[in-house]
Amino acid sequence: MAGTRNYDFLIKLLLIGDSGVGKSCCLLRFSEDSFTPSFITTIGIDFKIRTIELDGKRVKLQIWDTAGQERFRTITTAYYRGAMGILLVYDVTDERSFNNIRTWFSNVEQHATEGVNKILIGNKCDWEEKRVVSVERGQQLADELGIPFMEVSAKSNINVEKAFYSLAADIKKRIIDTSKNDQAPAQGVNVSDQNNSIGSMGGKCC
Amino acid sequence: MPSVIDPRMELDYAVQQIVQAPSDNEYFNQLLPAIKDASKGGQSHQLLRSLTQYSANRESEIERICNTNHQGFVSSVNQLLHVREGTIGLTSEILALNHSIQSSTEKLAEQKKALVDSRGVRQNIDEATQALRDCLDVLRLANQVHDLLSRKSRYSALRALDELQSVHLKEITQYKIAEMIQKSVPATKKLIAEAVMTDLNTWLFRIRETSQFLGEVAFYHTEQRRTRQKDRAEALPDLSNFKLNFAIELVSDETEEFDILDNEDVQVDFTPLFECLHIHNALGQIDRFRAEYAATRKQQKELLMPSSVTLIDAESASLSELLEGIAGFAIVEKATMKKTPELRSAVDVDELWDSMCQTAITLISKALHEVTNAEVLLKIKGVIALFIQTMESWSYPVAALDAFLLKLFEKYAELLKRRFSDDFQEIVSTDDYMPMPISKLDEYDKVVNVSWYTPDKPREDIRFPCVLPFSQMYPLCCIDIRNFLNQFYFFSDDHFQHPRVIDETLKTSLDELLSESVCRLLVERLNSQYLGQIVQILINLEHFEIACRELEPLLAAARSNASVEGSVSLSATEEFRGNKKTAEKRIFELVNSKIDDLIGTAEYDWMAPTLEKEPSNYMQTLTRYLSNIMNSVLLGLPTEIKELIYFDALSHAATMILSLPLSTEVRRINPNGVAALAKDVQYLTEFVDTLGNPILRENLDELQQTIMLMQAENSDEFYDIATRNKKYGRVDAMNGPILLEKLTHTVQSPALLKTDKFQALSSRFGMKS
Repeated sequence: MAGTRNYDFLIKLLLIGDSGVGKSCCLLRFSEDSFTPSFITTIGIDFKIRTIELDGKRVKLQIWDTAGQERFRTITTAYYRGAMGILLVYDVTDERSFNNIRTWFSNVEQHATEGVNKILIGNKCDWEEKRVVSVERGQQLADELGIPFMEVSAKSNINVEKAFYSLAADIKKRIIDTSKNDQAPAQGVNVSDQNNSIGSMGGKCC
Repeated sequence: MPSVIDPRMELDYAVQQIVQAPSDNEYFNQLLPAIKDASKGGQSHQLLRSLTQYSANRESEIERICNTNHQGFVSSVNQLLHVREGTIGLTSEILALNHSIQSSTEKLAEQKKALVDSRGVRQNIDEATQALRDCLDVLRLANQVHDLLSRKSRYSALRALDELQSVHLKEITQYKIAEMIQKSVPATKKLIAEAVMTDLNTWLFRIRETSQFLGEVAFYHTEQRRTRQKDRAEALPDLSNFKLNFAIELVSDETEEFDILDNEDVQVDFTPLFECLHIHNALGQIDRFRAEYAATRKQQKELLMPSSVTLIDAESASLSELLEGIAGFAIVEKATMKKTPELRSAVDVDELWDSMCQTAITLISKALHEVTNAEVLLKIKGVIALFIQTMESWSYPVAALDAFLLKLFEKYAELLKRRFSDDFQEIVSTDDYMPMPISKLDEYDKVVNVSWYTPDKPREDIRFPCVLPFSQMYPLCCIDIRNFLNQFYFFSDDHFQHPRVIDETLKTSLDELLSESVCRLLVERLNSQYLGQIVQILINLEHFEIACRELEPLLAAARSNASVEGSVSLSATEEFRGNKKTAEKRIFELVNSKIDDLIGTAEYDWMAPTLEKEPSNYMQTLTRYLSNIMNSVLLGLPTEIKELIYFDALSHAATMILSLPLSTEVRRINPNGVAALAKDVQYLTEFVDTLGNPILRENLDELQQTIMLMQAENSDEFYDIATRNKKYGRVDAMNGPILLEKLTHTVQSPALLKTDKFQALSSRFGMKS
């Protein structure tokens, strides 16, 4: 069955955060391992696909990149529901973007599926001289929100892979846990071979 | 006798005789023989006694006489003594007198002699004086020659010398000095010639020193003329067609009195030259002088030309210095030629001029590589143009310089192009590729004024903030294009004889800039992964195309010679237009790849045991995504392009969806599988219908008909041409049978066949066995 498929799981991720924090850059780094210094605003919505391997399984990540600008909010909010994992991105050199994380988080709470995996990402961590949000404050906020935290740099390629892999691994773990309990695959995820040994699919891979 | 007479008696007589001797001589004559006789006769004693007797007699006589006259006698004696004394005194007095007379006469004689002597001397002196006077006159004249010489009255000196030689010297030919003076004449003449030459050299030196300043003043004067001409042209626009040195300008400017060679800043006095010329003329050495002068000027010209110039110093000082020097030199030459046609011929002057021009051009050409900035080059051109106009007004031929300006212009065009190319690249690379937000009216006006953009709404109806369709690179490039045009034409300001070249070069350069630095760079950017960026590029290309079309008549109108017929056409226009297609294709490509990505997540279970109630997740995602991009990223596209994209996207989606069941890996498809596909296609159709363009639905025809065929009770109809054309006309002749082959008539997993729905479907999907 489904012989055309070239992956075992499909995971939908969503990037949110203020305009200019570097969501698209993180995605470009992760999907194509490239970086563009010019500022390109995402208009509405965009997505990229990258298939990664987790515990010997091909996991297709469909990552939705949203426009940070307020005027696209109606479009972007529609993507919360389908997301299995959400990356809340702020810019360590921009206090406002960090403060707005709480708003983004409450949007997630409001619009996303319950139990969706989240991760707090502080981008531009290479830009030490401009940093205004310390690692500690980032960690503190993440702890408060009860989500993992990671500082990354799309420009210097620091932790970007790790962030996505970690989130994907968490999602995989959660979905598999769910499917183990009621044997019903979650929306959008198809465990190709349910008889496969589920126990081996744990742990982080980065 | 005595012997005869009594000796005594005789003696007495003798004594008588002796005493009565009338004179001393008689006395002695008597005495001496008496003594002699007495001594001979031994009668000395007698004689002596006689004598004594006589004396005693006498004395007694005297005594007797005197006894009577004693008193008288004594007083007479006394008187006599007194007289005698007086006589002696008188005698000595006479002697003294005599002596004194004698001595005074001696002096007189001496003086007389001296007088005679001095009279002779005086005669000599008079003669000498006359001679001297004559000579002195001549000498004075000779000296006057030197005086005049030293007072710098060379010509007078020469005249005086001639006069001296021809008149005055002849008067004193007897003197040696005349000969000497005569001999000194050539030397004096030479001296005069040398003096004037020295003067001339001083003058020439001063002229050389002044040359540059003279040039500077001349340049300034030309600038003043330019200003006046500009003012006049403003007052009377008809004049604006006439440039500097046109007859009309010269006439209009006649009222301005300005003598370049004699004004408050600079005075060039040609007197030393005239004098020198005059004198050489008088000396009959005019040919030699002419040659010498020519050689000197040639030498000066050589000295004037530096071995190199730099063009990148502040205010082009080095170049100005060179050209001012040349101008000053040439002006002096021309003035000299006018004032002394016999000295300077037009050939000489032109020869020097040509040589200076050539050297200047060579020097500038050599230094040209230093210039990397168009503004600097423009300044250089300005200096040269000023030079040309100044020299033209002195009737110098400037064709070589004009030709050189053309070379300069080529370089200018190249520099401008390079700079604008860099500018454009910078603009293109730093653009945000977002529609340009405008927050205020004046900002809006600014953008609209610089751009070739016709807003679709009247200015009054615009509410701020608003967004213009193009990204900010467009107005920025428009500003640059305008600057580029202006800067090009800056080159023709004041003086440039090849306006057509500017027109042509401008057109070519602008065309290349637009094609290479704008269009090509934008097209390169189409590789971007960002749909928004590509869409913006397409919109920008569209606006650039419009701008090009507007530019074409603008360029034609700006042509320096308005009478030149023919329109201007830019190949960039076509480039922009053509590359809109490239951008369009890239949008298709990118949208299609997104569609592929999303369809790639389709998870049909072709042998599903149950009937799917909901449209597939991928289909929902796909339609939502398409709807979203149509309402955001693609929104700004021109309608016709937008429709093309929708059409292409839907066509591609349909093909891709159709390819899912066609995949060789799908071997069997049960009715549930077909139903799921049908549901998704239905969902897609409904989405397409919401787009409000009936034509778009045609894209789904094949897909829909194929599904109809798969769901058909009688699939044999497909093999009947008439029915097929009617019902399945869009179904691919190859794909139809392939799919029909894959269909199973029943759902194979009995364990799961329990829903009513499925049975209903099953009957609907029921196939002929």
